[in-house]
This record gives sequence, structure tokens and C-alpha cells, in this order.
Amino acid sequence: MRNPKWLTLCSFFLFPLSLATPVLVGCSKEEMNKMVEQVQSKTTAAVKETVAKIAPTGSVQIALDDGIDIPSCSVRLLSMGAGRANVVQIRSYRDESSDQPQSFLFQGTTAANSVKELVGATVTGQLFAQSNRELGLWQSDSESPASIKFLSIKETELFGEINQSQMLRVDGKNAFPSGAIKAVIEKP
Amino acid sequence: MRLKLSCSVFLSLFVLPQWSASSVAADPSISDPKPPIAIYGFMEEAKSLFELAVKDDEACTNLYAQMKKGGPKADSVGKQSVHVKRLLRTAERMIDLGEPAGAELRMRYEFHELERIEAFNAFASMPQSQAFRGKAIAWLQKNLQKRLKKIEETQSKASKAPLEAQSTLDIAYDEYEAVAGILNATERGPFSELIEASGKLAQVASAHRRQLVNQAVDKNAAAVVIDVDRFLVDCSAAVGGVQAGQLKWSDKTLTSIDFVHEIMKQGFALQARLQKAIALHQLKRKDMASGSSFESRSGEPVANLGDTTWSDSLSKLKSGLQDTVVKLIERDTQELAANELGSRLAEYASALGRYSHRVAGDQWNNAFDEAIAKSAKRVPDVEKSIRNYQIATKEVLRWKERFASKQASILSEKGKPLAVLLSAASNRTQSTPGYVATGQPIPFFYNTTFEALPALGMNLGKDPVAIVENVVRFDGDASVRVSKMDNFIYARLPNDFYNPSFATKLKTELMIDESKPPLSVCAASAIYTAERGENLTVGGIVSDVSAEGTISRIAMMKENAAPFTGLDSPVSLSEQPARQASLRATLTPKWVRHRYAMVSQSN
Repeated sequence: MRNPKWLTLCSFFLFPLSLATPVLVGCSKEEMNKMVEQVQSKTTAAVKETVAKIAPTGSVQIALDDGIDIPSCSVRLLSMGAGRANVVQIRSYRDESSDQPQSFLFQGTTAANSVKELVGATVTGQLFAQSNRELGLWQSDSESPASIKFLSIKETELFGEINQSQMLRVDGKNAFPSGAIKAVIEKP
Repeated sequence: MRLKLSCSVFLSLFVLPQWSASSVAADPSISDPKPPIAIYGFMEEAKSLFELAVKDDEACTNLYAQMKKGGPKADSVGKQSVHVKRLLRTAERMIDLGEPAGAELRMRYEFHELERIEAFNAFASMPQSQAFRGKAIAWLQKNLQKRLKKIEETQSKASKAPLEAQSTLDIAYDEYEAVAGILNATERGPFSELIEASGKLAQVASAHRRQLVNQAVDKNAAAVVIDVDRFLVDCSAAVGGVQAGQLKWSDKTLTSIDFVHEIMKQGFALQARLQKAIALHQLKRKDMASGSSFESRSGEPVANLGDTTWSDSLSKLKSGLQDTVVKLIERDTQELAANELGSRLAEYASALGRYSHRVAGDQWNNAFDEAIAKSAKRVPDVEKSIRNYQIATKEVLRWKERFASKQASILSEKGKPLAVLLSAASNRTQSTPGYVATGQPIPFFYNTTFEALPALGMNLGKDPVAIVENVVRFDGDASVRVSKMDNFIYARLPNDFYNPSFATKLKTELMIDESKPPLSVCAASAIYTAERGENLTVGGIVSDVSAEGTISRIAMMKENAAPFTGLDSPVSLSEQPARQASLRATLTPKWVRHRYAMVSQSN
């Protein structure tokens, strides 16, 4: 990609040409229909994408450092069977590679069998968060674990509040923050 | 005429370097720099040579002290000359055998030679010395024929048995030196026949010793490489025949899980043997044999070490163990009943959690967890259970590691990596006493331990703080922990600093208890290493530093010390010129980090 501008310009001009070519050289009705279908499906995909963009992404706020405020959050219930409790995992990132500050993870065990059943329950567990600040890395104190009270579900989002929990910063500072989550429910 | 001292005195000085606490005292250190570097005795002859050299070194020190106090005497000056010259020839023979101790003893010779000259001159300036010298010349004249006969006798033996011939001539030489030691060069002139004969024989014997070393190194090496290949062929055959959770291994029938433990045990023992062979291979280097110091001064080219057999064999062993396990999991579980699959895979996770940390990073953790996940696919419930467990534990472990790593890096700002700290302190500088300024830093070991180590101590200053990563624990019940060698420097930790109490909390966090085993190798490894105190980073105060022969350290390694060198790469020794001495710091921990948490210390 030595010259991306050049490439962009080229594709800008070449793309309509490539679509028009069959028409110019003449084609059957079947082929025409196929092309229409292709264009339609492309349009549908583009529309869907736009819908996804305005679909809820969830959010997290925690009163740590200058305030952690992340515009994404999701929740999933992980069941393992074999006598193990289910795990509620709430996180602000999709996977390890997108886990950049600010970010957040809460994980605890529950008797609930679905995210729906969590409403009204309080789950204790481990909370980790990082703010934009240097050394703004926090984890809940293992002696007094963090907890989240789940309040309600609206459409595809689970609402909850982080109860005031003791948190330890990586440089030894303690805090007792509260917070709120709005987590998009992931399909199991 | 040779000094007769009781054997037990010297045996107490002669302690092989081992990993026991008692032997630590035998290595020269800042707190006790007097002992010479210990030997490893790969070649049998080195042991008796070392014993003799230690005797002579001590006798030199004592005789000089006696004469300094009571004045020089004819027989003392003669005796001193015997001990000093014998120390030189013994040290040179040890150098031929590749013993780093030889290089250090040779430097001690240079030190004692100056003392000898001082005593000789003091004696020569005494009026009564004239009469003693006359007597000495008469004795030499009288016994000339006897000496010539001895020379003739040894010359006939020299080509067939040069070492035997040499020891015969040694006796005659010491007898001669005890008398001739009070004479100056002019007076000795007519009686130099033994000096010439010894010199010639020394050349033949030296070449012979080098040849013996090379043969022994090759033989030792070939045996290990063959054993590794055979082991891997056996592994593959055994896995091919796994049936109903059992397989054949050396005429025994083992369960598949016991087989995992067995091949890991044997694999690590082979790894330790390979690392030793790699270290011993250094003995073939020319500069190992020519060094008159810890470092070759000559800078002559080293023998070509282009032989990649070692590293090839080591990486074959590492990947062979991994492949064996991955294939075993697949074959062992492919026909397993659905209700047994979950528990068998959990058994694999627990078993492999004992070994996966032996390979750097998460290479084995991931490879084994993938194999488990792949086998789980056959039964949807098992697959779901294992996949969800892996997802849940992986995230928590990742955050815990990030937190602990950051905590440690903040603490690390208050110190330096041990290798950096000691390398800097062991560079000789213009201001280092006793050294010729060269304008550029040269590794420290250019002198005897009793001169070098106190200077190192001075450069280090008071309570220096050092950080070591990769602290490993020896296999089995031993609580010996050392850091892996880094630039010829490593640390030894006290036996009782590690407190595993946080492992209990970690278990809860990873949803593990008596009835619920870990379902991933990552989680099993986290618990296993937390309980045992493995792969730690430690910051602490350097309370002492000892010197060891580099090859001695590796070559004397017992099999349970395999983690010291590891499976990942051959321990790096091929520096040019040869680095003969390594430094071992005694570290008093101030803080300890496990991969997943800071650890409070035991009191």
C-alpha cells in the first residue's frame, strides 16, 4: 500500500464501470435478475450494518480516578454444568485485543440460569477496571468482593448498579466507588 | 621433602559444588573470598589435581606468613619454591582439563610467585645464605646422574603413557626444586636438565589431556542425543498403542494419565542431561584451555562451535513432548464413553498443569487446552462445560496477571535487574584498585577471587536492590529456588520465603474445590505454580555474591535442577572469549510476585 490515495481513486472510478460492463456488452434476463438480487442483498447488508450501529452498545460508569465512563458493555451467562455454579461475566470490550483503557470486567457466580433471572439479584464477584490515567488500574479487594445489584431488563439491555465496593489501585491507593452498568445481553 | 599434611584438612576444603546449603560456604564469596573456585571433575584426574593445588595454595600462604614473621630460612624458601612451582603446573593441567578452577589457581600462582621472589631475595641478602647455597650446589652435583637416569626412564614412557611419565618426573622435580629453590638463575644454570625435560613432557601431556577431554565430551554428547531420539520414538509408539485408557511403556502397563507423568519426568531428566552436554561441549574450545585468567587474555580464535546438534536435540525434545501429549489426548478420548469424557479431560488438565509452565509463555498451556477443547467437541455438554470454563477463567487470569505485572513493575523502579547490577559492578574501571586502566570496561574476573570479590563488593555498595525474573523451583520436594541464568549471573533465594496462602483464594476465584477440578491447563497451572511457588519475580537485597565456574555449575547440575536451564533454549555459554566464571547472588526478598498476584512473604 505505497499509495493508498491512488488506489482509492482508482477503485472509485473502476467500481461503477465494473457494474456497468455486463449491461454494455448485453446480457440475458436471468443474468440481469441475478445482478439485481446481488445489488439488493448488498443494500440489505448495508442497511443492517447501519441498524447495528445504532443498536444499543451498553455502557459502564464507575467513580474511579477521574471517572470511568465507557460507551460499551455486554453481559453473558456462562454455564458449565457438572455441579458448578453459573458465571455472570460483564465486560466492556469484545476480546483481548480490544481491551484497551478504559475497560472493565466483572465476574461472579450465580444460581440464575439465564440473564433474565438475574433481575432482582445481587451477585458478588471480582471487579477489574482501568481508567485513562497512568497507573489507573484497579481490582476489587479479595477480602471484600465487589457486588452488582441487577435492577431491570429493557429490550436487549440489563441494568444494574455497582454497590460501593473496596477497590485497590495498582500503586496501593484504596477507593470505595459505586457505579452503574447497562449491558447488552449476549446470546448464549 | 614434600609437605606432609593430614588428608582430612584438605578434604574439608575440597567440597564439590552442589545445591545443598552446606556446599554454598565452599564457594568463594564477597563475605569469604579466600576459597578457590570449585571444580566439577568431569575428568577424573581434575579431582586429585584440585586437591593438590588447594594444598599448595594454602602452604604458600602459610610459608610466606611464617617467613614474614620469623624471617626467611633455607628450608622454608626451598619448600615455598616447591609449592609455588607445583601450583603453576597443577593449575595448567587443570586448565587443559577445562576446569575454570585451573584458571583461577593459575592467577593465585602469580600472586604467590611475587611472594616467593620477595622471600628469596630476603634470604639471598642474608650473609649465612652463602653456605646453604654451596651445600645445595654440591647436592645437585652429587645427584646429577640419578636425575639424568630418571629423565631417561620417563622419556621412554612418554609417548605411550605421558601422564604416568609426568608423575614420575614430578617427584624428581619437587626433590630438585626443594634444594635448587634457594639458588639464583646463574647458580642453577648447569643443573637445568630437569626443567627442560619437564617442559618437553608437559607439551606432550597437555596435548594428551586435551585429546582425552575432547573424546569424553563427544562420547557424553553422543549418548544423550541418541537417548533423546530413542525416547521420542518410544513415546510415539506408546501413544500409537493406547487402548481403553492404558498403554505400554517399558514393559509396564500404565494409565494414560500416569504415562503423562512418566514421560514428563523422563523428558526433564533428558533435558538436564542435554544442557550439561551443551556446557561440557564448551570444553572443546581452544580458549578454554589457553586461559590464564577467567577470560582468555590471548583473544585467540575459538574452536568452531557450529555444531547445532545440541539445540536441535533440545527443541526436538520440547516439541516431541508436546506432540506426544496432544496425540495422546486425541487418541485416548476418541472412543471414550460420553459420560467418561468430561472427567478424563479434567484429569488431563490437572496432570498437565504440573508441567505446562516449564515452557516459556503460554505455549504448552494453549497447545494442551486446544487439544482438550478439540476432544471435547464430540459431546455437546462436555464441550459447553469446557469452553465456558476456559472463557471465564481466562479473563480473570488475564486481568490478575496485568495487575500483578504492573504492581511488580512499580516496585522494580526501586532496583535494577540483577544481571545489570552485577555486570556493572564487576566491570573494572580506572578507579578499581589493582587493575591496569584500559579505558574500556572489561569483565571483572581477571584476578584471583580474593582480590576480585572484595572489589565487587565495594562497587556494589550497601544493600543493593536487585530484581530477578524467572525464579524456578527444583523438582520434587526440594525448596531450592534460583533464578535462571542471565548473562552468567543468577540468584539463589532462601529456602523459606515463599508463602503459598494466596493459592487458596485463587482456587475459589477459578471455581476449583475438592469435587470440582480445573477444566483448563491454564487454570490448573495457575494453582499448581501458586502452591509450589514457581516462576516468580522477586525483588530483594543482594546480601552476598559468590563465584562459580560456569561450566561447573551446569555440569554438576542434578536432574532435579532441570528447571534452572529449562527446555526452551540451550543455556547461552558461547560468548567470546570464553566466560569461565559465573556469579551467584544471595538475595533476601523484599517482595515476591507470582504470575497472578503479589505474594506476602512467610515470616
